[in-house]
Amino acid sequence: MYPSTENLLKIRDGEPIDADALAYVEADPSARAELRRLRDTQQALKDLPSLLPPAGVWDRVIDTAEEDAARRVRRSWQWPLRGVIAASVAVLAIQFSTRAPEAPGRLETGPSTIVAESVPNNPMTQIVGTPSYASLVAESARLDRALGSITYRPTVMRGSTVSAITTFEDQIAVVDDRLMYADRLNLNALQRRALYQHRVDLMNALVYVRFSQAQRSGY
Amino acid sequence: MRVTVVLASVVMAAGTLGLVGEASAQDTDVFVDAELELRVARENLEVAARDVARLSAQVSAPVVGHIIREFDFTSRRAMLGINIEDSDEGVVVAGVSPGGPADESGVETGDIIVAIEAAELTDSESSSPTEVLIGYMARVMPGENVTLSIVRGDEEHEIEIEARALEAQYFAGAFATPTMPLPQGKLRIGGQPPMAFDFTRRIGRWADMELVELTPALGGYFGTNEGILVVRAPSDDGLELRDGDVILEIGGRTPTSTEHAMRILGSFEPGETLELTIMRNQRRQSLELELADVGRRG
Repeated sequence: MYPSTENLLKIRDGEPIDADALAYVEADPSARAELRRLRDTQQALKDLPSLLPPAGVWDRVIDTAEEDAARRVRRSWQWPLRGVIAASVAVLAIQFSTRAPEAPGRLETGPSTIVAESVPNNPMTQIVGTPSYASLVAESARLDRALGSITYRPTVMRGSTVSAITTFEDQIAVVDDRLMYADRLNLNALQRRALYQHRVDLMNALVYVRFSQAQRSGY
Repeated sequence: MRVTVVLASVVMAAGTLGLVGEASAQDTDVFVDAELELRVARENLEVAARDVARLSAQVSAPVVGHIIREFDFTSRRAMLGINIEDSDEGVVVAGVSPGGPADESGVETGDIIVAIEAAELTDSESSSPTEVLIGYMARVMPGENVTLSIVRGDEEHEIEIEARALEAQYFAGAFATPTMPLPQGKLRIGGQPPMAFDFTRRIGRWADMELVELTPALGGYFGTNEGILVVRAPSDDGLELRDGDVILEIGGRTPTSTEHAMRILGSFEPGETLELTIMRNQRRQSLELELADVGRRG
């Protein structure tokens, strides 16, 4: 039986796991690939440099999300406001929550507090360890909204930054196109999930870069 | 001299140097240090973000790489930049491609598309709502406008979108890895298989350039109402650009934004000749650049 995400995360983190599940992962190429992906992504996220947000950014993220929520009458399939905030903050808070010693005093009541309230688990797990199809779809939508909340665009743009943004955008466009034609391509559940996982990874990368561009010195 | 003053003004307005005026000299030093540190952090973050995207593509490639790469470019197809799912009410927008046509027209994730032009997107015995939309898009050519009827909350909107062509290079760069090179079969445009995207070879020479989208007011200083202002020219002297040049055309195409400019520049391979039309000292002129291979230059 294909291992659950929880079991894959246990293997990744060196925790005890049922021998049958471990044997399955060792024998199944797609399960091994998924495990590699979890390990690589975790390492890549850990390697991200520390970046400090200016004072008030969290308020702006929340304000934007609240305005959006107030403007829209949510239907049953839509995602709740706290999810939007959780995603926005979880994405942006990874660096701060994993590098607490570097966070200045002005952040102490910022992201960590919000994350604690709205994301019950470790934000790293929230980002990396949710590969079920439904949760990835929701994660992807939340990242869309998080990106939309970063409205500031610097006037001067560096070539490398612009090309990074366009590269991510172009690859997301490809993934979206494949997802749009998923039925015609007869994609199976594993393939759809992999596409959504890749979309989430790309959106995360794009949000990071856009967020860093929105930073100004806190004067 | 006047251009220099304007360029300095642009940088000040775009950054935060304008705030320094009220600060002490010591504050200014701290500010400059912070600016430099922030710049380095941004560059490091870009590298890390690229790594995340690259690693994600590599680990996904065994499962979905072939799905991406088996795209048939022989027939031109227009895209809206969304991914969709069926619902009882129509087509749910499950994702909007950032910077894509739908995004730029104001479509949002969670919107419900109930019609495309006069075609209602309803579930029927013969086809689902998404199939109706996909079937309609098969007849739309890049550059054509389509109008979507969208329900957002309790309101219905009509949004006009200019469909855009899918670029071959999007696909080429997505999942090509050293161990999974691009196939030589279906993935073609104009009979030529696109190369895997190589950032250093194709964009590296432009990486340290700094650009500003010109506004009509600012353009008055440069003798043009539109274009992309080069605030800081690339350090590669072979590119011949100077601070204060305004890029009007790149290879005969008019860049509409800094993103568009970099997309066009990135489409040129090392070894190709690139023609730039610029304004320099308020005079229109052309530059013909031979693009050397970044990796081969000394």
